[in-house]
Amino acid sequence: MKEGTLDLIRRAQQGDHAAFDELVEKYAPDLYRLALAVVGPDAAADVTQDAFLRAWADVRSLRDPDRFGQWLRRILVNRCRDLVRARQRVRILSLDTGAVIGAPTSPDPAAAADQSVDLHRALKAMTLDQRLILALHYLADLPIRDVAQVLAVPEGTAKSRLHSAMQELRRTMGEES
Amino acid sequence: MNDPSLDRRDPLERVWRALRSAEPPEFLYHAIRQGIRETPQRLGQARLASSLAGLAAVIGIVAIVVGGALWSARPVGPGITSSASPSATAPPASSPATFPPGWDPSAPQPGKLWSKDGQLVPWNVLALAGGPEHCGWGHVLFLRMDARLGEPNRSVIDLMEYVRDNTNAWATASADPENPDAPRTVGRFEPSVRRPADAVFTGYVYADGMELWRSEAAGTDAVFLRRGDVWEQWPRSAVPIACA
Repeated sequence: MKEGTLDLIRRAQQGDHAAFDELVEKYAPDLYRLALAVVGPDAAADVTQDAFLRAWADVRSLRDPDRFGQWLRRILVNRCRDLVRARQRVRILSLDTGAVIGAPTSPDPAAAADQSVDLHRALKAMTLDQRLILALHYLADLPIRDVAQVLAVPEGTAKSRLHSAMQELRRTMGEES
Repeated sequence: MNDPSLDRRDPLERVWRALRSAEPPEFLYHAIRQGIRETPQRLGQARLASSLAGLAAVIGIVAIVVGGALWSARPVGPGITSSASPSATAPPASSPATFPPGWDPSAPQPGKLWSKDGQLVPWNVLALAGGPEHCGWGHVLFLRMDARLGEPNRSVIDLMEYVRDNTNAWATASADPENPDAPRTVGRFEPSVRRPADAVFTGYVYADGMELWRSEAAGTDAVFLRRGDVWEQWPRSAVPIACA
């Protein structure tokens, strides 16, 4: 982690609002995208905001500023879980919300639409944990070791969850044959 | 870095690409900036432990000095006994005298304040509310609290609602047109259950003496309300509850 970021974290731990503002600018996009993948566009902003407010309140308890990013992701993951627990249902990413998540990248819109339907069905069939692990590994680009830390599970558990999530995804999308 | 089992041509990869290009809405930054200026920081655990250790040391020294002086000056004679003082959060050994003898557990009594350790509890920490009559929910009681019991609730995400529906008809009816089999609550209201083996008194007492208890086994799925020997189990609402 760069010294400038570490300095911002240390200043935030001293109650410096402006320093935390800069951390928000730096980390919000990644956190928001992670929330978008896990809880969908309706709740992503709420969960992200809540995670940052909780991080601000507790940042003094962070002993290792080098782990700030991981710590933030763990807070976000816990907020996602809280949301699911509170509502007992997850609104998953709607692939019809191109305006929110960006335009389709496929050159063939018809083919993309078909695959979107399949993918929508596949994601809907997945558990929160499966969606979390896919998002952390493939969206946030975290290595398995870091994914395991964010989810507070052993590395082996993270690997097996990732494997079963991919199997489930491919099974649902009819790619296994 | 990533698992090679995910082919970059995988349909999922297109979703990740689209997500990676998503930007947070501008209002999110404003909301966070404003929010942190209204949110106090908590003392860090390490500093808190250090502060508490220092405080404990000072109290210990003072206690030894003052205790020694009092011991020297203590009255000596019959009638002096000692006993351990009960914990502030320990459950009462018997039913509080404030329980009405003829209490009817089916009668809703919302709208009063809870207390803890003799202090009234704000409504946004713990509140008992009656259901709206115009929706036909007049017989239903809602016990609302934050997911972290004891904290003021500030977000629907953290809102936990426990339901007393003595008919169970309302609670078991679905509120979701897309999922007609989904009940409104996690489990059923039970008007009379045995005291859970792992029941823990929360310290919260309603105006009429009703106590709020929780259990490790029930987790957040249910709470227990005790009046004397009567234990009720209130299930948690599975969905946010609103009446148009």
